[in-house]
Amino acid sequence: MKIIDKAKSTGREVRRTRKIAAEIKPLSITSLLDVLTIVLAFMIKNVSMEAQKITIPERMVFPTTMSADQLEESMGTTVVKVYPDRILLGLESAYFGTPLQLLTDVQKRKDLNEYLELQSNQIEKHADKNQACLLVQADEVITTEVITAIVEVGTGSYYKYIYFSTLKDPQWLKNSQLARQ
Amino acid sequence: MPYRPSAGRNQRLAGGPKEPDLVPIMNLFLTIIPFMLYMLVITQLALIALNFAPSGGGGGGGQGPGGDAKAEEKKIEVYIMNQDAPDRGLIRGFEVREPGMENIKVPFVNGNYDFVRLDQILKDIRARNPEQREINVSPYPDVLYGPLIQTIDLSKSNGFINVMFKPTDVGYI
Repeated sequence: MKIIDKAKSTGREVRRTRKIAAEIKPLSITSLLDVLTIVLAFMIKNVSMEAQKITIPERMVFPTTMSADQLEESMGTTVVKVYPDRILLGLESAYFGTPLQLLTDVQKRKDLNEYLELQSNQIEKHADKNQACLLVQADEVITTEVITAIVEVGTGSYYKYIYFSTLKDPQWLKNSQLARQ
Repeated sequence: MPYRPSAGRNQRLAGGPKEPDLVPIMNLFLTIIPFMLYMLVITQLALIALNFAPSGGGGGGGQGPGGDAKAEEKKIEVYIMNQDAPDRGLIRGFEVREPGMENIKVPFVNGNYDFVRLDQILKDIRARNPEQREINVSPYPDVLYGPLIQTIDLSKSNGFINVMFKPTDVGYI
């Protein structure tokens, strides 16, 4: 206002100007959205319940292997998770008991046999995945006798295929060689 | 008295359709994606299939050799032991048995199973028996699951496709 007053006092005509606002173009994020939508769809596919079957259960250490076998398309799997202090059954991870109970309690083995038999019968009735496969996910410190007991009950419950979950590490033998030296 | 329409109204109409506000969707995406990345398991998982010793002729999925070829297969056994008992012939380590050859014992090295030596032995057996596909892995009950799986893995990586799981005496109480 001071400048205008000053100009008026000197008798000059005040020239008013209007500032032209610079046109700001909005940032186009359509392509970014496309990419994010694709990534999101891909991730939802990977985090499906089916994929959960062969992910690492919490606080479990798998042994490492170089070779890897593939599950066939026609295989319907039943998961048995073996921790040092507990055994969990199925996708819902139902508590079954402890590894020690499995070895010492006859009733526990009968219960496991009953459960696995029921599961294998259900798999066999399935239209697409009708080959029963037992997927054992065990911690590397579990003793072989526990694994043997599960395998025996599994084969007795008509599971034709038994798979073990492991971590793929093509370098484990080299690492073992280094540790040896 | 009616007022004339404002000039701004026409300008607004001529401006074309307004772009939808994508900020909430972007916010949602930017929240979900890190969450899913966190849930994603980066490690590469693998599966090891098991064959059973008293297989007879079933299973195999049609990939195994026929009856005549099977007759030529030698009974090669890898015992995995976890306790020293020389009186019972046990050592902490492996014992590899091949018909017509002397039994090879592979004791612990630095407190661990000597997988490097076992690998060499399996390679030698493979060189002597290029057609051999079957091998028995026999762990004692106190052997841990980790060494068992790694022994099966070594056998498979040396071309013994049919790894038979044949645990030594398991007794239930």
